[in-house]
Amino acid sequence: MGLEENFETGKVYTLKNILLKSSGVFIFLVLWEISPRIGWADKQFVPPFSTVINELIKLSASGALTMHIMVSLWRVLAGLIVAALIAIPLGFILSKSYPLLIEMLNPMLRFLSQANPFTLGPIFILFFGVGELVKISMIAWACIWPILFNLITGIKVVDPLLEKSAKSLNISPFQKFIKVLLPSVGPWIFTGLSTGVEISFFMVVAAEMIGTSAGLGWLVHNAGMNNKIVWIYSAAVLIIALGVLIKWFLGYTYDRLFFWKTAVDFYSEGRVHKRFDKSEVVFIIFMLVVILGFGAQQVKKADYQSKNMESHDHLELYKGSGDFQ
Amino acid sequence: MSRKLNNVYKIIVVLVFFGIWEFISRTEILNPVLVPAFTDVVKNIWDMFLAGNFTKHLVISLKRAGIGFALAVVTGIPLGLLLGGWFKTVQKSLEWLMIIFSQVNPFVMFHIIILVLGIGEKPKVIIIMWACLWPIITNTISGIQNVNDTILKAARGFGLGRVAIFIKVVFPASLPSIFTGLRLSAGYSVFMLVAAEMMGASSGLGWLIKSSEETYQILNIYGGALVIALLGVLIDGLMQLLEKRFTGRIKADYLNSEI
Repeated sequence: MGLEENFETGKVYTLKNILLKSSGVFIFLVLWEISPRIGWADKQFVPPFSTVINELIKLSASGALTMHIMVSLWRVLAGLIVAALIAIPLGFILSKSYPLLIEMLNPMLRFLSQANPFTLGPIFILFFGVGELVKISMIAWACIWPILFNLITGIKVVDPLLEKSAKSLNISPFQKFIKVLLPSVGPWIFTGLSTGVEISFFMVVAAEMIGTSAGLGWLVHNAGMNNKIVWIYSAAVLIIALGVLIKWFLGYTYDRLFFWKTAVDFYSEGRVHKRFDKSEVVFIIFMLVVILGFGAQQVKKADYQSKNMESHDHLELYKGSGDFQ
Repeated sequence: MSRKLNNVYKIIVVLVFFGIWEFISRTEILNPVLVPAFTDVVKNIWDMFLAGNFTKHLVISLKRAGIGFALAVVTGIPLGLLLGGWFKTVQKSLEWLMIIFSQVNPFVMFHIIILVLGIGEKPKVIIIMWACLWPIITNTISGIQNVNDTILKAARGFGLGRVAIFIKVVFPASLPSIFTGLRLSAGYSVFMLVAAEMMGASSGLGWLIKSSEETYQILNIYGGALVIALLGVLIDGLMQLLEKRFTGRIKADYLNSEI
């Protein structure tokens, strides 16, 4: 496959390679643009790409998009933080101090991990009411399992040689945790976190379509309910772009946090492995804080709007969640 | 600890979990209206079974998930084999497009799929198929492209032709990776099924939960959640069994790197 060569020479982003790789996307977009225009596809159902982008720009200029994006991202991030706060300490404590217990709990945990967050939604509503807490707990539920299982596996496969040499060097338990355990388990935790993010971004859109008053999923649902087909496409383009961006960001962060590891997956070709710059760290922390702070404020704003406007869309949305067929 | 004893402990842990659930509800630590006792939930499922309508929803749901998954397998594996094995340039040129497509949330396209295919079974099946397709394709491609070079060279050294190499070496060696994709997809199929049925259906397990929620039948909500979780465990176990059966002889070092 030549991954090693790429890793050494770093000659992946040659012009030829980029042209080759983007050709598929380019051809697809061109097809999308011309097929409604020359009548291969119904213009009503498949608006040309330029129209969709145009509409997206108009929507974002009206300022409504920021709120929906921030609300969705905030939900994902809040759920992820809750999941990480539960799963990471639990995984460490259980598998470090009671390794046998983890072994015994395994079937039970597998069973719980199969409990679909959508089916648990109504149960969470019984406990938490219909506010943000339900969505966050649904997302947290979905995120806990990949983090926990990855962490347990990660601790299992820590190189015993490293642990023994650390022991023979007589380091303190705290130092052992920081210098041996964390660097070996870190990549596993991060893999769990990224799986969680991808699942929950996927989930949040679906959950918002079932019943909320803001967020990216609501944007799509609202467009569908109002028969604005162009808006559906615009929202879809936006969601896909965000999804690709998140995926790219996760890969980028993995390569810089764990620069000594080569993550081999389908999309890993030509990735650069080095440490984070300071400015990058500052930027990422800044973005996370913005999502948490600004997002929370946007969630409140959305909540306020939906309560006070007795919005027509909201009623439509409620009806729409019942029976098709 | 012996393996048998270990299994006994595993079963005990599961029983303890349901025991605690029962205990919390019976002693009214948590409101038994919100958390019905485990035995009541099981009894409710049994009653629904006897009444017959539960089996109907279960069969409908399984049919949707099964057809969607089967369609994804039938299209995904050949497509992955073709792209990964023969048309590598095409695969390279499609790589970024595939990244984009795998991010397409099928629910976002729900309204458009309905416009094109109409309401009924087709949109749900297509949604499940779309979600299942991408793990299968990517895992098939990465499996086929990572077959150990040494084994390939040995096969060529024995004078095997292209077709023979594919049937005897490349395909078996990439099976573990293909099965990873299949297992992921099987999990997705249940996941998507429930969400799709909650969004717009008038039958199936997801709908059962949604309508129970709207009519405050809390026992049904718990019952549905329990059955769906059990279904997930069973499907995952079945996939693991199949994986063992078909890839038992294939060792990890048949691939260049573990994926």
